[in-house]
Amino acid sequence: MTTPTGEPDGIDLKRFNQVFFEECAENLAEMEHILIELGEREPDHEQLNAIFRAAHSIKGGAGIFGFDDMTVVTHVMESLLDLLRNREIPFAPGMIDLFLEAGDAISMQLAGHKEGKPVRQEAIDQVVGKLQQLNEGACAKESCKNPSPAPSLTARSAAGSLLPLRYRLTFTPDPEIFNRGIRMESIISELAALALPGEFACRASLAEVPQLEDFDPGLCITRWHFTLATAAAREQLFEVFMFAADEEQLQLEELPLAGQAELPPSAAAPPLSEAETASVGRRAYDSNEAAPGAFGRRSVEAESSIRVNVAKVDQLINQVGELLITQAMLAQIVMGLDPIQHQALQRGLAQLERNTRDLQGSVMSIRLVPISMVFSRFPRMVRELAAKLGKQVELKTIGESTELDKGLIERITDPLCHLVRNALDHGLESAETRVANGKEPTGTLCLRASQVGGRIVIDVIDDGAGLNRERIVAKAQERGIPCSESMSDEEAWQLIFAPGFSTAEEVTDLSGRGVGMDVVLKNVQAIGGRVQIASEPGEGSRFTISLPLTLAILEGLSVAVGTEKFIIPINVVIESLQPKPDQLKSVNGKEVVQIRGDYLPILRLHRLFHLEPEVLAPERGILILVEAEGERGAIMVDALLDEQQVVVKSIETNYKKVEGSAGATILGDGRVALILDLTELFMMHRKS
Amino acid sequence: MTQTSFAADNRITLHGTWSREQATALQRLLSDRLAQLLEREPEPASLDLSGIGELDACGCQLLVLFMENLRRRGISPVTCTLSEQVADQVALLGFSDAFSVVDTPGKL
Repeated sequence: MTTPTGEPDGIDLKRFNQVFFEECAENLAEMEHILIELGEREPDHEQLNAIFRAAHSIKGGAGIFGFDDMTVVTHVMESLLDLLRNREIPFAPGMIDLFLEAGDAISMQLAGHKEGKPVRQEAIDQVVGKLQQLNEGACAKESCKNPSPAPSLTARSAAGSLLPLRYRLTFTPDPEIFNRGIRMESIISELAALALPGEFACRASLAEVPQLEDFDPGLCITRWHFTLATAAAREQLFEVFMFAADEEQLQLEELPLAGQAELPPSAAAPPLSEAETASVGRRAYDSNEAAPGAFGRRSVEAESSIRVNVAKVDQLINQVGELLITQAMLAQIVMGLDPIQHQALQRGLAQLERNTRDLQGSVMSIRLVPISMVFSRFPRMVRELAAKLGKQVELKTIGESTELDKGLIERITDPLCHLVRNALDHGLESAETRVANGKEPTGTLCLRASQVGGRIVIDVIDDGAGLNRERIVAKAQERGIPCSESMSDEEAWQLIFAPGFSTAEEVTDLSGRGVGMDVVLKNVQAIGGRVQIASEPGEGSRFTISLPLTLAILEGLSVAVGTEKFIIPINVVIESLQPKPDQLKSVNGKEVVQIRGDYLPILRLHRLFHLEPEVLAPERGILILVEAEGERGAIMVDALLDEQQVVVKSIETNYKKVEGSAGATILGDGRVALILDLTELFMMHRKS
Repeated sequence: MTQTSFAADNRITLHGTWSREQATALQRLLSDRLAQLLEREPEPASLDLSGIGELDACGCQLLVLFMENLRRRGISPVTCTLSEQVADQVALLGFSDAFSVVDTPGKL
């Protein structure tokens, strides 16, 4: 009898790879953070340990998840770090750059596996070659001193101990370990590699024996018992299980070592301290979370967090959005009922509204991530650019814990990179120039994030030469960009956002290619943001990016035009008024309204959207004064309806792009209302 | 493609890949086979695992559980043949004791 077993169960191991990808990226970031902080200084033992742990974790994870190419780079890197932390080779400043290069190589491999990006193998080979060269140089020296070092010596040295120890390690895995795509074979092999030759034993036993017919075959009911003699530190043993085990799943017990009694008492392994005993079963690196300089250790907060796919969070946000719409619908229905007769219903609905808002706030906060995720990339970028430009630059970051929507974080990174590059390339002067101008030779670049009102504000501030107004205006005139000598500084600074504008004398590979600032502005505007510039000659410049807190839900003012309703984002509204006839004027054939000495253009929504209005005369309608991107105007509508939170839906995805709208929302009565994009409306008005 | 073969008597021959991806199908097959064996008079069974090409911890656990279920129901595997490659994997995973009734390939 022959029976094919059929197809695989359809479990998607790729989603488990994602966990590795994320942890790998975190380890790389952690490694880079330490290396950048070091500059050219020699790392201390704890810092070397932290870098080693990061490399080792990546290697372990890569092995477990089958990304063998990544283990090659991390292995040679780990070996070199091992030699360094055991003081078998001296530290050289160039090693920091080499480790950074190795980090880049691993990042490239990670991107290859994660996103299918091309991997430049020659770059990988080059880094591996350099690392190997240092390793081999060290080994050659070592072999002079000790002609035949045992293979276990490296591990012994890695332990920071002169004596091997014998351990019994019991691993009771999470029942889902197989479903998580963890390869026990890799873990056991890695653990065995830490043992002295012939000093490793592994025994597996079933923790229970369920009826085969009722058993879920994806569950793990096996417990593993290892006995090994090793010179590796306890920490290294635990790190083997980093991606596979929770702290409570490991039990480590030290056993007497054969022949230990013959050793002098001073060389014998110290007995376990109370703290060590207490930490048995925990990962070694967790045992002293609060230790100063404990780089690379997982914080208590991280241990109590879970990873959730962003798509799931987005789904949750969408569902809360739908709930908001339903709540608004109910509120609208109840408005038509007798309040006396339906008092209890109204109270209930008011409570529902409060609860819905609380829920929405909580859900939205899930998507918030600290801006340190973006800021953390700049120390390295600044270090490398400053070295390339021959400038001395100190980077300061303020407000790194400021949180903003994950979607915004992803889209603000490129504009910020460009501003930082520009500040270094064009803003900050060389040390000689600075000294000649009575400044400190080291320039300062400050990245500052804060929450101001309902927006996130990010400043890129440098204490460089400041923008050169004359050059900007001259260049704008040369390029045919409309401008005048009499324009205010603020208006002059805006010229640098014109497409193709650049005052750089030379085109460099860093910036000054004439593309960028217009792209910066477009990218920031695309996420509902603004860019403002302040600059003082000789004092420096400040570029301020202001962003909405989130893209998913906004506070809006609903207005009516004919039978249609529109939403105006509340953050652009200055005030609303019913103008008196004497406030209405005409300038160059365009309708304007005079408000406290200013003449603001009147934008008739019904004309822009080709609707039949109920009100034609502005003095009978409502003018809503708005300001967007430094431009002000008065939007004419039939009536103001309500101020409400609306869930932003993409109209492009569901229908098509509608000029003048930034999206759409579903109102309480089930109707669709366009959310106005003021910048586009101003453009439409100018065209008309 | 994983393939599992059973003889009509108490000789059980398994082939193919025994890994997490195939675990549900394999468990179903082993359960069916267990039920068939239980319908017969209890007598020793022999296992030929020499045709198994790949084996991971999940597949290995399933085989051990199968053998343990056999034993608990009065059917003791008398021989268990493994290929060298699979025997190494079993040893690495620490399951050698469970497969201790081991025969060399071709001796069944």
